[in-house]
Amino acid sequence: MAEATIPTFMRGKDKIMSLSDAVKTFVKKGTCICPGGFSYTKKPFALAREVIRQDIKDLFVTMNGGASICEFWAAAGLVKLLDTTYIGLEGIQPVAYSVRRSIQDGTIDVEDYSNYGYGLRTVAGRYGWPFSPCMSEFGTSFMDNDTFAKMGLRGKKADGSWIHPSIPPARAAVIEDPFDGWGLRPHAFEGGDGTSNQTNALEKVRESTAYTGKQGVKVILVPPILPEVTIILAQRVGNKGTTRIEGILGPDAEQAISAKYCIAQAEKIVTEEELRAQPYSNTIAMQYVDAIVEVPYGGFPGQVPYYYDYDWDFWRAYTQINRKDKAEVNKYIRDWVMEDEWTFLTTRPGDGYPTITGTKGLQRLFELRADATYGYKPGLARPL
Amino acid sequence: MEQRKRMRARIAEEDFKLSPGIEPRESLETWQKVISAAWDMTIVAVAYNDMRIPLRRVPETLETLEAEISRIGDETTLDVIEEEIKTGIRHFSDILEHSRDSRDRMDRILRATWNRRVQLKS
Amino acid sequence: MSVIRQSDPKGWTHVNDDEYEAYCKEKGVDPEKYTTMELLAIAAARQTYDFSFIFAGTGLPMIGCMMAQHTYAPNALIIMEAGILDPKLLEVPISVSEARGGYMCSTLSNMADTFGTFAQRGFCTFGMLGGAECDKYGNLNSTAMGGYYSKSARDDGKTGPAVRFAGSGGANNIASYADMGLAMMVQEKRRFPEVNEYVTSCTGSRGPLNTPEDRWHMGLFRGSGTTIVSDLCIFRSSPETGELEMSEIYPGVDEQLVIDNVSWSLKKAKDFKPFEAPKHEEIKIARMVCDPHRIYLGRKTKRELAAEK
Repeated sequence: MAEATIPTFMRGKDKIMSLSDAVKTFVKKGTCICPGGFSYTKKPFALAREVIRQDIKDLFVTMNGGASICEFWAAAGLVKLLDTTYIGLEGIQPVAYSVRRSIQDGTIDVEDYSNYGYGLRTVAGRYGWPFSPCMSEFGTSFMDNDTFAKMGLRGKKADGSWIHPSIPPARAAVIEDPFDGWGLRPHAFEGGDGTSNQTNALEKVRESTAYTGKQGVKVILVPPILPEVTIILAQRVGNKGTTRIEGILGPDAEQAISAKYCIAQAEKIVTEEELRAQPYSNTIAMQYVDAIVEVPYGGFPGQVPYYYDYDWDFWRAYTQINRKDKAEVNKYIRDWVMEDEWTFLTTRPGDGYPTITGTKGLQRLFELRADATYGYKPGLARPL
Repeated sequence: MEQRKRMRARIAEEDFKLSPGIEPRESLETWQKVISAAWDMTIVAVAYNDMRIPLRRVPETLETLEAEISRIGDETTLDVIEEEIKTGIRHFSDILEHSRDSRDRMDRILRATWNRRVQLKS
Repeated sequence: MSVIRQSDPKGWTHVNDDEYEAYCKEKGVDPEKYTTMELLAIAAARQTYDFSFIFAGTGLPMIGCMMAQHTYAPNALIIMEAGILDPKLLEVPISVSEARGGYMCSTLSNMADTFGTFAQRGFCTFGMLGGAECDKYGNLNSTAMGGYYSKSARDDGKTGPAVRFAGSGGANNIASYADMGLAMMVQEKRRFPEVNEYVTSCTGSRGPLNTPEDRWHMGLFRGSGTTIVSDLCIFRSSPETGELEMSEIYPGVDEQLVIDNVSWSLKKAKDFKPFEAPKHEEIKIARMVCDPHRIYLGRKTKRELAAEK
């Protein structure tokens, strides 16, 4: 009988690791990895940069939350498969250029979901459900396309094992609602004419024979996400893994809990006691976190609500840099991350792009501090 | 002892009898005002519960900051300390401003409740 | 259906005229003339009404919903995808999920929760979206052109789609659940095909009304028609056929220009009328209250830049 080992999620304070150890231990070539955060908010950029430093290739990126980390990884040529909903750099670049170019030139293969469809997948992953019900993607091209099926990545091998452990046998399925739309009846509420729920049209839906060939209310089922590793950023993580995310939550909790392993990048690691004094404010139970890395300001150039705001000037410049020649952008991003996070944080903020205030390094980081009353930096200059 | 014996015995029929309406010694108006204010104090206590450990660390935190000042090499880092301390001064001054009077008043309230107790008994 | 709309500018958010003059000088904008982005935001706000729920997608819709709140729909509740209900938008957010969008809101929760708790449950009167491409029935394509599939899934030997867009994000969900679609986009013939090659979001009837191709017969249990606000005119779904018809035309725009810039034979709505020019008060509010840094309003369309020359 093999010697008993303590599971990773039970190792208490041994979960606390250095940035490089955390990535080295859990992220390998071809890993199905799920970056948390949304657009620029709470993206675990330190962990993302470390993945680039360690040059981990052929990543299968699955994510709900907008493309900033995926953009850097695509720029570095590390992404092979993508399972996502949105690849824009919100507000600044309609489509993240490195990701877009890689899909158009055949480097990345992509499967699409809508935010709710994918969000429901993360809920199924969180609760261990076989699937979640979705009513949203009917009548759209989502239901007519399945990239991973066409690539032969879905289903079982001859020996009965799944072809890919993180790819479900189908993108979605359609069933008849066994409760005949009972739960979808209009809810009445007093808001006067013209307010919500005007248009519940279940009778017309019942007539339809789309997708199943039979009449009745149909429901789309979406499978859970089951990534191997999720990386998230939280303001505070207890030293045994209890995680408290403050402010904007995004898809982090569901994505973290759905994964086999979760690496939590913390602004500060605190005592468990501090967070457990008010357990209902905690976001992720301790056993779902397998590694904790403390990297203050590690969310740069993104936003960590209540702590610091995004570096607008950086994104404004980056969206011009990433349109250059592919090899040039690859070299740029690998130079950008530098050899380690400390060198990065002391050198790169304000470096290599025009800034309104001219600050650099640690001073620039500090200048981005948020006002704890608002969660962001009021009056942050954001010119076009 | 009587109560304990009765509890250990099987529940008797007389235990199920419901009482007629009680004439409270408190007026509804007074009770409502007091409970509303009491809940406000509880709300502060709940917030304090979440704050108490970080708050208790403040002396140690300040000690660390103070000790590092003489070692700091970059003016920027001094900016960090200054800003955090200024925010701290604002918040702590705000708390102290209300606290001193409130603290004194709390003592007065305790004394007043004791006196009222004596009055009620007589 | 009777609705409440705060049409009297006296009830709108007040902007000081002297401050406005100074602001326009500083930013180099003409205080009387509106830009395309401002027109889109104003026209979108005019479609809303009070006490509604406005689910705002990313981009210009965030300005659109702020405009609505400061003018015609002061009691409207804004919803954004980070579980945000009824935020106090002091500074325009650049993302549907950033701290500025969440300030002083009622709740914050996860992505799935927003679409469930608000949209699927019916608290989504207007679904405000931006669009890349729009077809005859109000279907938006924000996913891909020149084939959807990427290289390893393709049969034609190409390396990937000719153009890849951002993807749905929440657009599909907002369009599927909203009582009424409300999309804002720039109008060009190639972006208004008769039939979209990829349907990301069904904002309108999806297909001819009362056929197996319409949205309800495909399984969507909510939605009515859509309003598409372009930089030339306003389209509305025909209540008879579901087709988009030219419903209102902006001042100074030639009807033929509108017709020439869609790929199907465009009909005029029965109640076709000219669009009342943006009011001075509306322009002031858009500039000084909604987007003073001109993050969205400062953008110029190709048509605008060409006209400037």
